[in-house]
Amino acid sequence: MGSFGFFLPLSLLAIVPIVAVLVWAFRRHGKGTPTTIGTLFLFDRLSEKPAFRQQFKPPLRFFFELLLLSLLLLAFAGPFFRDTSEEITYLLDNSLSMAARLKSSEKSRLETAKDEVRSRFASLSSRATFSLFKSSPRLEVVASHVSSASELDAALARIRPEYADDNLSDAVTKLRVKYPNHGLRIVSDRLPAEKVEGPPSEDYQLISVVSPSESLENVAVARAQIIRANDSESLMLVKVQTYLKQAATVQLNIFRLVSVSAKIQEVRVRTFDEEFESGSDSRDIEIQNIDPSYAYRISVSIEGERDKFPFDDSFWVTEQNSPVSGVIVSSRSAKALGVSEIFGKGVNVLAPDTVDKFKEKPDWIVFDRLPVLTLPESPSIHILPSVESSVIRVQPLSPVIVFSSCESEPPLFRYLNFSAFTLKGASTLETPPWTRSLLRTADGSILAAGEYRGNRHVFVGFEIFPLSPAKNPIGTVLFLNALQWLSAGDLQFSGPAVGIPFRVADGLEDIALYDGQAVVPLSKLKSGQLLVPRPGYVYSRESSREGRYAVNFFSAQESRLNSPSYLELPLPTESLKHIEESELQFELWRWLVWGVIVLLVLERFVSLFRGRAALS
Amino acid sequence: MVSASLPESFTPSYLRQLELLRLRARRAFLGSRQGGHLSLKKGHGIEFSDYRKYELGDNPRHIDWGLYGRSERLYVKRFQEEQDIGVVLLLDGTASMRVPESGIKWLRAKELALSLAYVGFMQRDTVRLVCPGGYYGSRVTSPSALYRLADDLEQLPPIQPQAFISGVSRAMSMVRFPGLAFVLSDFLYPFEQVESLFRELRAKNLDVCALQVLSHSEIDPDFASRDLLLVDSETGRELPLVMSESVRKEYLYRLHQHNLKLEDFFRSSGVRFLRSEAQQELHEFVQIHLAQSGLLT
Repeated sequence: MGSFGFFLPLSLLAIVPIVAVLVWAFRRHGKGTPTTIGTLFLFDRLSEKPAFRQQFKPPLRFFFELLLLSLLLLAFAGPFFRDTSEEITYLLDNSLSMAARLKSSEKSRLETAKDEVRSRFASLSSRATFSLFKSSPRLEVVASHVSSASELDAALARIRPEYADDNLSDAVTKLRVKYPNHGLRIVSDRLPAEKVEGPPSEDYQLISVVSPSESLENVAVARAQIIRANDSESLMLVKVQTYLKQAATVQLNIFRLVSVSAKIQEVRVRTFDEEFESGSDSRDIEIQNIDPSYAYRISVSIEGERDKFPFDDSFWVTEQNSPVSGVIVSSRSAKALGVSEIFGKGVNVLAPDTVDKFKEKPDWIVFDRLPVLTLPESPSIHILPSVESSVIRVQPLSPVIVFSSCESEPPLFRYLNFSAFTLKGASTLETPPWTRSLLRTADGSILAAGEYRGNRHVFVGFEIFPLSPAKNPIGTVLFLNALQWLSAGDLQFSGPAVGIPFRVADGLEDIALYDGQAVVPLSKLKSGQLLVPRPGYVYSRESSREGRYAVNFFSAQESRLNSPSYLELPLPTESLKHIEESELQFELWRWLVWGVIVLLVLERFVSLFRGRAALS
Repeated sequence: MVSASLPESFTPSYLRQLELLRLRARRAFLGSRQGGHLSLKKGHGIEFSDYRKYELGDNPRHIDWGLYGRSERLYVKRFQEEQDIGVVLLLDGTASMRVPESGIKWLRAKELALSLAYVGFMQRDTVRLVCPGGYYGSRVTSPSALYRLADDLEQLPPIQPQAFISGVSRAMSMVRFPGLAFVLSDFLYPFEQVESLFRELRAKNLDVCALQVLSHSEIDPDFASRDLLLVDSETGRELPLVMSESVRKEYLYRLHQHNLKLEDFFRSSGVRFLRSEAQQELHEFVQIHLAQSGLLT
């Protein structure tokens, strides 16, 4: 089985004007074979009307030329054929209800679901490709192109029950749209009789981990949603979501984190008791007069039962005495982040849900544990990817977009290695399946660069105007794909032609280390290492004549800038597959172009032959 | 230096056959030297003309003594002199004569012109070959000049139609004595132009013969394709055309009418006329058709 498609399907619409132009040309210039005769003296004003005034009866040559143009158009549209035999996508429902234990065993529903996935993975054929998604708090890819059981175990270990609204149907819909040819398996605690909304699919299966006789256990979770702070007081809004077997009282506890003798201690400051209905229920609780200078933790417990999630949420509120210089978006606490000020100014730490409401323009933004967000405008966006993949929407063509692998081991930014590189003339290690040769970044500007799971990824925007014959069309397609990925993708890797980042194989130039305290002038910002004893941040927003630079940050343990093995990236990517040249897919467009050339020569030959034979 | 060569059809046997032929003028012309045609000039010759009274100083050998015995008066015999005549060969060298590309029409026209020239040389006539608008040969009498004429024609580029029309006047201005004139052309141009062309020839008191050379594709067009874009070889003008049966019949009718008009005009003008199809055998046409028409004897 394979999938066939076009990279630029809209270009097929050009067939309409092509036919129109061809008909016009044949009517205008006549459709006959050019035949030289002695004189037109006796042919003038013959009773038969000239050809272009007659009803259009296309000759064979018309269809021949139409075929040629159609083939060229098909080649331009970029047809591809992928061997996608048996592509299976598993969607694991990790909503909160999956934390409940099954009556029949000691395992939770999620663990049972994981076992189910493992057993089904073991029975897959070797040719099958296996991808794993989770549904909560949003649809996210956990692992793609899983090839081994250990890889699957590592991916499953990252899935925990998470709080979210019921979004399983949305997740199914998105998966079906993005991967219409994949087989879809949903592992959920929904009963098989329940209907999961979404577009129809032939290869679809709902695997339920509960039997109809089983009922839900009690589950409750709380989450701080909005924090508004000013000089004197702050307001906290907590959303409590429950799945109860029967109506019960749920207790919400607010703890303040205080530092006592270099140890963090919790002091309970508020307690709320609320009645919740059986089944799914939720409640918004507003808490006034919260001191914003402390960090807090919230937890919920159901009467008579132990709290399954003792650390529901932790957050930290900064004082805002100084003008806003930057924003950290994180669900982790300030203690965990280990940062209170950057550049000597205070920072805002925002919960992911509140970013949309943030109206100011900070100098920079740091993200952690990325949500699906549209970022506010900022000249610099630094992204700290968490272990799990995330979906990012940024303003296209932001001056600097840096994907950093800097993990937030406290204190954050203590030791940062810093490098900058230019990609002039670099080639890529991965190539999309529809191209035969390695892509080159010749004179392309960098849209985004960074590391993802130990692999360096670079998005290069080729400054090529589409349809320009003197430029590289492959670069144009990549450029458009990168834009699409950066602006609108709901999934990180959403198709064969969309969002394919490629690892840099070579071409990195002038990597060197600098002393940490040195201020690296932009003119020398080719490379460097900055050892930062105090939290600080360096970024570039400049470009030089030699090309645009991207700045990357590494933790001290990760970077080996001087080592040649730096370029030999040890970890395989999960979303990309290295494609050897010998394994490249069948390139239809090249065959189409060759076909056109052959037909063109044939037509010239035939017309020449016919022209000479006309009067002989 | 271009090597001299005659058309392939000019085999030794063909040349020997041509040597037996004579150009035939329908009336006598004054020549410039002794030749094979009866001249208007009286004098020495074989053909008896009339008697004249003997005058003092006449050669006594020319006295008819028999007549003197019967009438006792002295008369001398007078004879018609045999002189050469001027032969002008007007060859149409326009692009239409060279279509189709195989050049068979142009080849036939050249062969006819050279054949007539050779017959003229054998008859000790003065021959001038002219392609109006492009080539104006000098008066030649020697048979060896046939090779040079063939080479000149071989290298002649196509002539523009307008240059051909205007070139006829120049060619006529070069004619000093009346004589025979042959016009070799396809005559596929408007009848008014044909009229004006022959008007100039007749004004020179020439005995004019018209030889029309047509290719088979002009007499019976059979194009390979039905949908045509006809291109005029002389002007480059294009004409899209669907070659249906009705169109073909219409063309044949027009060609027939045009030829009828030409024949009527030539008949009324005293111009001898003959049509040659390019694919026809050269030997057959020269020895049979030209002889039957009275152009050659």
